[in-house]
Amino acid sequence: MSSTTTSDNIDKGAGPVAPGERQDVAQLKTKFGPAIRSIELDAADEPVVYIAPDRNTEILQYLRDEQGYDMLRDVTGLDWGGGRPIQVVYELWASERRLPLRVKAEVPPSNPRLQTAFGIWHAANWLEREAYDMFGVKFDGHPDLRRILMPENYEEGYPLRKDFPLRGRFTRAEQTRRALARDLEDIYSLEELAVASRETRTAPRGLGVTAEIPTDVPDLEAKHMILNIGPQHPATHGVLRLVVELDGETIVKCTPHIGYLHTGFEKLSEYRTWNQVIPLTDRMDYLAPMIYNIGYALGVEKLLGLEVTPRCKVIRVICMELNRIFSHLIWIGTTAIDIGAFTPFLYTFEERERIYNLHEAYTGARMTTSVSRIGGMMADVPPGWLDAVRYFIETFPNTLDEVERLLSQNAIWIGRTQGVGVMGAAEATNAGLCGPNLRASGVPYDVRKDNPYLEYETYDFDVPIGEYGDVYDRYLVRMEEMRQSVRIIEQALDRVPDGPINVKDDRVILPPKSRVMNSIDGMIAHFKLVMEGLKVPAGETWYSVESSKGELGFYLVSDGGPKPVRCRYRGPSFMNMSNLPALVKGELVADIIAVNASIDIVLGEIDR
Amino acid sequence: MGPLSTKAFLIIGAAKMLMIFVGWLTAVAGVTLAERKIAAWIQDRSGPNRVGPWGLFQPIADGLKNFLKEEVRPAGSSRWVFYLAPVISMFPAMVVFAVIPIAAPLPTRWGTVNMIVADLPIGILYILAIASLGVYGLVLGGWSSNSKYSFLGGVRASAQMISYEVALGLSLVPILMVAGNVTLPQLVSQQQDALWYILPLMVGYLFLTASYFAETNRLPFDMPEAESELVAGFHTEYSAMKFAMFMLAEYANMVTAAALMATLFFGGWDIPFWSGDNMTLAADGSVAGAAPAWWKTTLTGLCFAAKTGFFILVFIWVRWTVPRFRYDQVMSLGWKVLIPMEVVYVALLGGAMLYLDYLGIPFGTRYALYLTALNVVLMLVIVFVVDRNRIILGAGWRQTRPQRVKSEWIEYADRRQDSR
Amino acid sequence: MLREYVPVLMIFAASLGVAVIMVVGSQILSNRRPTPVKSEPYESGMPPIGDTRERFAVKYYVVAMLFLLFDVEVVILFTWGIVFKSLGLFGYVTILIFLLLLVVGLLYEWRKGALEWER
Repeated sequence: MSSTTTSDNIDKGAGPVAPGERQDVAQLKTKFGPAIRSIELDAADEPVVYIAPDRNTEILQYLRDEQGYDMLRDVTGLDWGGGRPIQVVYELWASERRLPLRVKAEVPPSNPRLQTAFGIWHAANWLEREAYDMFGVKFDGHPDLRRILMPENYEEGYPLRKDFPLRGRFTRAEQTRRALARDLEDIYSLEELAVASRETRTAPRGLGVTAEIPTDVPDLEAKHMILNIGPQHPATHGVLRLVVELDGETIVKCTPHIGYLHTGFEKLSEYRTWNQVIPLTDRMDYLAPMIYNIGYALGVEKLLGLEVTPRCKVIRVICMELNRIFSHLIWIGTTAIDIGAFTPFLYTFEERERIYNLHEAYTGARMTTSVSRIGGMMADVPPGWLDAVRYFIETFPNTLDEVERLLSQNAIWIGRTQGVGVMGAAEATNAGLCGPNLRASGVPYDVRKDNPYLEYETYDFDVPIGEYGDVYDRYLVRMEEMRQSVRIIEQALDRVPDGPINVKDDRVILPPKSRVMNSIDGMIAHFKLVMEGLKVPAGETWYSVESSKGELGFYLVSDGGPKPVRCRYRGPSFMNMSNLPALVKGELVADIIAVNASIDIVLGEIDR
Repeated sequence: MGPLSTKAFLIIGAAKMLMIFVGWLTAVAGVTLAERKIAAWIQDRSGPNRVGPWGLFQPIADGLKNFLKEEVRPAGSSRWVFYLAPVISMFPAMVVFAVIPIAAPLPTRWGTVNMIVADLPIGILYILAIASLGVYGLVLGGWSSNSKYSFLGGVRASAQMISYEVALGLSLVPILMVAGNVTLPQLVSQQQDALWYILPLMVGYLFLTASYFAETNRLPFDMPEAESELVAGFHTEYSAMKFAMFMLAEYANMVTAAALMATLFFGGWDIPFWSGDNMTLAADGSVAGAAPAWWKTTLTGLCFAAKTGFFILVFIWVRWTVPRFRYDQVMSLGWKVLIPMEVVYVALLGGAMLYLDYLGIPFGTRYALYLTALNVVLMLVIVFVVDRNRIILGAGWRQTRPQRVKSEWIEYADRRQDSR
Repeated sequence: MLREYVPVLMIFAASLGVAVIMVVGSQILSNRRPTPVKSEPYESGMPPIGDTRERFAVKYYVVAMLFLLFDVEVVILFTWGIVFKSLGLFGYVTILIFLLLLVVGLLYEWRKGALEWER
């Protein structure tokens, strides 16, 4: 693939940087020589290093240990179809130097096999499972390589490969039959069945599962109980299923089973034009839809090398921060309700209702806003809307104070949250904890500060950092983040410039109707945009924004055509959820609820 | 006038029983509505308002609905135990009320009538004995359902309720020591003569309140049903009327707890600062103190209802304000905090009373005031020395760190471009 | 007086009557159409595995045994409390020794970890 196409007439913003200028990449090349096959630059001028697949762990280990790439942000696949090799993409981040690096290993589609990176970053656990699930890449040495989003008895193939049809391989009737005919082995892992029946179980299918699992429970000890928490449970925040192995009320093991809400957004996106993808994005995180909308648009604009108008930037900041408050409010409410305090929930929902009204006033929709367009917004804000936002942020902190009075110093709240679900800074970085959870663990990583977008560097705000990394810290961090969001919105409201909200570029934004009706070039531009869709130059980017739940990454790949080759949404909830088993091990049943609530998940984003 | 004749006693007893029983059932139904209304009021919403004016007929509608709803009995459940459990749960909840006096004695043509279903000489013991039967309903209900959530709720219920039964029993001992008997009408008249026990025994009241919140499974102690963890705990599998029976039992226990708090510590039906109701009905039918009258009975009855209502309000208020304990915290609060503190309190109180006897102070207002002083001191000790603003010791026992997390503010410089 | 117990029997009968009427009445009035799925025990919508009534963690039963011991002691305290005033100093010292034993027992349980709930 060629990733460095620079279109002459579209401004690239920062200006191209020659390959090899980054010192660390040069070092990597000298160290590993032929194992580094080639180095390219992506649309954001970040290096993409192609490595030999048989030496991937060695190189990744070096990158982590010697070059400080301590965060594994993403592992995913990329299939170009037509028998070309499947690319496995590792997206790294060096938090000290604030540099990204993308490493790609190309494996043949017939037998895609790689060493697991789980030993280097625990974050690879679920990411590799997903790459296996979607592309069939087998990661040798992975501790638990099972399908993750698709059911375990899914036999139609690997959905994100290009040769996989959008509707699946089987007929709808066959799919239904298989869904109804599943037996216990399809919904429980072998280990769970073994614990429940106290018998050794043999794997019927053997997809990377060891054939026999011995049970070493002495005969006279209390039996462990296998308990399903979810999918139909009041405290799982959607259709999440946690299979918990209990000794009394102590959690021996907790296994999240996800995928109940899998909608195939990534596959669907490949069948839509770039602008048509926007309505898909807000369905993922319906608790902060605008962040997804705008983040996606920002990513595509990065591919286009397009700079949006100053007014649009400020409006986008307001929308994103409003949605951060929106999402944190439901977090406070539902976490409180899970720990038994019902009343804060209704207080925060009252405030959410006001944000819903703001959504409705702007976009006409309350939940699935689809507010952004590539190159701008769906429309300029209606008259008076900014005043309404100002009124909201002036009055909203009162509710925050009220909730804080109810919870922050409450002895029961403290007893339930402090010291529960602890994860330290180093472990959290390594395991890919995201956003407020990561910051609660004491890691000062916030995309708005570390890799600013939308001119966040010009806003004056602080990033709260916790110390202990428990549920209480997560609570404090989020409370403070809401106040900081209020600060950001205040500054943004003061600086909203006049001018157009959308870029004046007929290749990106539909021309106004007056031009479409009255001039031939306007009509042609309209026709081309509507009939063919937006043309994005070939290239790729991994663009991340700070969502309310953590770092939200968009890995967008274009081949120059009207539709994306790959739209990868690395949702922060997915990463946070993958850490739940580690967070709750050895705690009590009640803690699993508190911790699960505290990491702030939204299932639409996890299951995608 | 002498005591009532046996015939009159039986007829009047039956009438009283029916009246109090029906009135009390109505009150329980009303409390279910009150809970929802007050919760709504606390939470800025309307609450039930469709059935009748202000939703007043909501309990009736609920009852009818529950009668007609489909009941599901899970496969593998033990049929008879499953049906028996709600009965076992509800029966004691409905009969404990029998020994609580609800108003001043009422003069009638046949003699003066005590406003109590049964003036048993074993009053408090009767309540403890019968009320503790309720736990069987919970345990059997949880066990028979053949569901893991129910089972967990059932074992939690059993462990929690028996733990707090010890605490509850111990918290009543100070009252017995001061009062010297266990019949509730006598406790009321003693409080009329001296002071309401809330003052001389306020620490005991603290213990009693904590224990009763746990015994009635109300938030923050609603471990057996903890809806966000165990879905509905021991009654997960119960539907329709049997579910309603568990709920009724819970509310009935709450009303009883509120009435007991009013009777044991707040003078029962006594109207404060008014000696017109200070009367005692002796066993021979004679009345000591002020003369009984029907209007006095009515007034004192209203007073009792008001006090009980207040404590019900407290129950509801607390439920919608605080979060829920974790199970181990509940147990450690019971065994490691309440029980040792109660034992110490009993010892201290006994010593103080002996000393007062040694000084020759007769039982009365002055005696009570001295005890009040002791209790105020103990209360201050508990609040400022033992508890140190942690409110309940059990809540934070597991953690060893300062309460408020230090939040650092880190200023970032955008070093990104420089690092290239 | 023994006749005071008669109203208690009456209220027993009334309560039992109401409870039984509730169970039986709803049994008669309600509509039942059980299906295999409907009567599956609830476990968050998943078919449960393993037996529910199996050997369970012993801590809960330890509490039950502790309760037996302590409740008997509380009963003794009740009787002592009622006659406390007439017993005077002798009774007080006796019960202090008794309470001491109680507390020592509790401390023993505590140190032995019978009151711990985790791990």
